[in-house]
Amino acid sequence: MAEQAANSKKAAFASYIGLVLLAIVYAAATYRMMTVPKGDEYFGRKVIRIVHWQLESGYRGAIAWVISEYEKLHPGVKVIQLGVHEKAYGQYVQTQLIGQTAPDLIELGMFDVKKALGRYFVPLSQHLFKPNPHNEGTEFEDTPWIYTFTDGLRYAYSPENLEYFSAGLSMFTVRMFYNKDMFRRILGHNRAPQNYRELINVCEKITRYAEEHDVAIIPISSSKYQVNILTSRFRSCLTADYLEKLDMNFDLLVSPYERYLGHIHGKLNFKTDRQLEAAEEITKEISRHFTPGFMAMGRMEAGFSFVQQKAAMITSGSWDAMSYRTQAQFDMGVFDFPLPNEIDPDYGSYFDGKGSESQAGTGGLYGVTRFSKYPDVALDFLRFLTSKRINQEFNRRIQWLPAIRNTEVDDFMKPFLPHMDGFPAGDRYEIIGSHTRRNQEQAFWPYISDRIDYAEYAAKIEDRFVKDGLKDYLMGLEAMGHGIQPQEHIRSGLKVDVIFGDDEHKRKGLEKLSYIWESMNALFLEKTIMEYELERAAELGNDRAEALKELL
Amino acid sequence: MIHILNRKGVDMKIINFSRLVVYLTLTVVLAVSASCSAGTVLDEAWQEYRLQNFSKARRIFQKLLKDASSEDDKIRARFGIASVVHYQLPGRNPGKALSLYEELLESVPAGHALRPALLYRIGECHYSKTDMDAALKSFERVRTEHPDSIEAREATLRIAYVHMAGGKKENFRKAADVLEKDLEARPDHRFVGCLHQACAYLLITLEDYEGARSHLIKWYEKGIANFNNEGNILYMVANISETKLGDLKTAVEYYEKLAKKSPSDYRNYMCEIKVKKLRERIDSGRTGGE
Repeated sequence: MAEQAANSKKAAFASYIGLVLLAIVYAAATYRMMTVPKGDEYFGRKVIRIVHWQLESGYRGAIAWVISEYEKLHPGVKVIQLGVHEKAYGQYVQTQLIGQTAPDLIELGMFDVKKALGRYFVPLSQHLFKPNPHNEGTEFEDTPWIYTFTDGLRYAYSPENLEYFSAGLSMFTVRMFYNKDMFRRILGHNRAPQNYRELINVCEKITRYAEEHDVAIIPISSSKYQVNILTSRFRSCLTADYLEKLDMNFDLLVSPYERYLGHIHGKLNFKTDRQLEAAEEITKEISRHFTPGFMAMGRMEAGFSFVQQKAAMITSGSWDAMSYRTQAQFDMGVFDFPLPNEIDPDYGSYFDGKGSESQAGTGGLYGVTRFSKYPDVALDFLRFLTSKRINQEFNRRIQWLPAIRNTEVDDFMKPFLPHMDGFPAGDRYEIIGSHTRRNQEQAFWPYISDRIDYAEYAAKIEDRFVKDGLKDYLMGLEAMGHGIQPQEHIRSGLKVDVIFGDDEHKRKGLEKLSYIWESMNALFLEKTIMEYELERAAELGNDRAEALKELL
Repeated sequence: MIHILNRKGVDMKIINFSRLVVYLTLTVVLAVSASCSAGTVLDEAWQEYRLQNFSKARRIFQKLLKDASSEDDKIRARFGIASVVHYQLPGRNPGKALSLYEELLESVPAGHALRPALLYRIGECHYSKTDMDAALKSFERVRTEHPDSIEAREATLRIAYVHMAGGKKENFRKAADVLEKDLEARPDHRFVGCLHQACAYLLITLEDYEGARSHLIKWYEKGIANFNNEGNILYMVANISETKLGDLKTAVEYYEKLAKKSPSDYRNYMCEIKVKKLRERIDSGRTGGE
C-alpha cells in the first residue's frame, strides 16, 4: 500500500515535470525576448537593416565584410543583413512596405518595383549629383556620385517619377566560356578564337572530331536565350551606321518612331539592305554549331550541357562565372565575342567596329525606404557600398564585376570587364512594338532553323511592316500621353510647396518644378513632333508613304 | 509687483492681473494650436495626395473644410479637393475640376497667392477637354494678370502646345514664335530652361538648325534642371554643328565637353572618333558643311 502511494506520488511528480519544463522554457524565452535588442536601437547604437535575395554563399559573406568595415568607421551604427529566398522575397518586401515596417535598404527586384518606387522609396537624385564622401582621397573625390558608376546609373532612373531611387553594386557582361582541356585534346592548343572566322573554323574542327571519334560533343551549347545575345552583338558591329541614318533629332538615340519613319522615308529596307541581311545571316551561320534543338532548350539546360563536357563552349554572363568555375571539372577559359573583322570575306565590308558595353547597366540595385528611422545612415551605408575601394573588394569576394569605374578585378574576371569603347548596342530595326515583334518572331525562328531563307524572312517582315508598325507607333504615342498624366500629378503636388511652403520648401519645390517640366516637355514634344512627322511622311509619295496614307 | 488691497484686505490687482495673464495665455495657446492643427492636417492631406492616396486625401480635405475656422484654410481645403478631382489616377475629371476651380476663383481675393495657379489650372482643364479657344483665353489671362509668375511661363508653354496640336508647319512656327517672344521679354526668368528646350526641338523639326542650336546652348547655359538631359544637349549641339552647320570647331568643342562632363555617357566613344576625324578636317582645311 505504501509502495503504491509512493508510486502514485512519483507519477504525480513526473506529470508536473513537463509543466515545469514548459514554464522554464517560457521564462527563458520571455527573458530572451526582453533582453534581445530590437527595433532601431542596439545597445545605444543606431540600427539599419539591409535585405536582399542573394543567398549565394559568397554574397552574404561579402556584405558581412562591408558591414564590419562600416561599423569600424561608425561605431554608433549597427547594420543587420537579412537574406530572403527569392521565392518569398517579393511577398516579404511587399508586405513589409505596406505595413511600413520594411528594412532601411532594400534590393530592388522580385516585386512590383515600378509601382513601389514613388510611394515607398526615398528619391536620391539630389544626392547622386554630389560627390560620394567615401571616395575621398581617390580620383572621384570631386566627381558626382552618379558619374562614378560605369553606366552612369542609366537604368536606375525612373521615368515615371522623374527620379533616381537606387544605386547598384555590380555590373554584368556576357562572354564565351570554353573548355580548355577539350580544346587541347581536339585542336592541339587551348588558344581562344581571335575573330569570327577563327571561331567558325574551331566549330568545324570540333564537329569533325565528334563525327570521326563518334563522341557526343557539340561546339557551342546554346538556347534561345543565347541566340538573342548573339544577334544583338552582331547587329552592333554590322549595322552601326544606321544609328546616324535614322536619328532625326541628332541625339544618337534611335527611338521606335524614328525607325518606323526611317522605313517610310526609304532609309531602311529589309529586302534590299545587304547590311541587315548580313546581321541576320551571321547569327544563322553560327547557330548551325549549336546544340540540335536549341530553341526548345532553357538557359539552365545549356549550362549543364557545358559543365558536363558535352559542349566545348557556351555564351553566358559574368553572373554564371563562379558557378561554372565551381561545377566544371576541367580547365575553363573565358574570351570575348569573336567578331568579324575588316578582312572577313562575307561580313568585313559591313564591319564598323565593336559594340560598346557602356550600356550594360549596373545590377544589384538598392533603395532607401521612406520608413527608415535613419535614412541618412542608410544612404551613407549605400554610398559606402558603392565607394571605389569597398565596391572593388566586395565584388572581388563574390567574383562579380564592380559597378564603379576604374576599379580592378582578379585575373579570372578580367575578360568580363566591359568595353567602354565601341558603338551603342544594336537595335532590331524591324521591331516598333508588340505587333511588329510578334511578326518578327514568327518569321525569325523558322529562318534561324533553316526552314525559310532570308528572302522569305525579309518579305514576311516587309509585307506587314507599314501596317503593324503604324499600330505600334500609334499605341506608343497613346502610351506617351498616359505617361504625361502621372507627371502632371507630381507637378501639381510640387506646386503646393511653391505656393504655400516656407522658403526652403519653396526653393526645393521650384527646383523640382523646372525638373519635372523638362521631363514633361520632352514627352510632350516627342509625342507632338512624332504625330506631325507621321503626317508628313504620309505625303512623301513613295509606295510605303501611299500605303501609310491609306491607313491613316 | 502691484499690491492694492481692498477693504477686506484682499489684493485685487494681483487677482485681476493673474486672470488677465491666464486668459491671454489661453487665447494665444488656443489660437496657435488651432492654426497649427489646420496646418498639420493640410500637410497630412497633401502628403497623402503625393502618395496617390487620393481617397484619403480627399477625406482629410473635406473634414478640414467642415471644421476650419479661418477662411484661408477653407480656400486651401477647397483647392485640395479640386486638385484630387483634377489629377487623381484613375478617375481624372477635368470637367468637374473646372467648375470647382471657377467657383474657388470667385471667392479668392485679389492678390491671393492661389490666383495665378487657379487661372492656369482653369486653362489646363479646358486644354484637357480639348476646348482650345477657352484654354488659350485662360492661359493668356495668366500671362496678362500675373506676367512675372511661374504660371505665366507655364502658360506660355501650354499656348505653344495648343498651337502645336494643330499639327501643321505654320502652327509649329507660331508655337516657336510664342516661346521666343516670351524668352525675349524675360530672358533671365528662372523658368526659361523649359522654354529653350521646347524651342530647340520645334526648330529642329522646322529645320532651322542655327536657331535650334542657339536654344540648346542657352538651355545648357541657363541651367539644366534634369541632368539626364545634359548628354543629349551636348551631343545635339555638336552633331548639328558638324552635320548641318559645318561649324567644326564648335562640334569639336561640344563633343569634347560631353566626354568631360558626362564620362559614363555611352556616346563617348563616338565623340572620340568624331573629334579625331574633325581635327583632321580642320587641319587640312576641309571645313565644309553637309
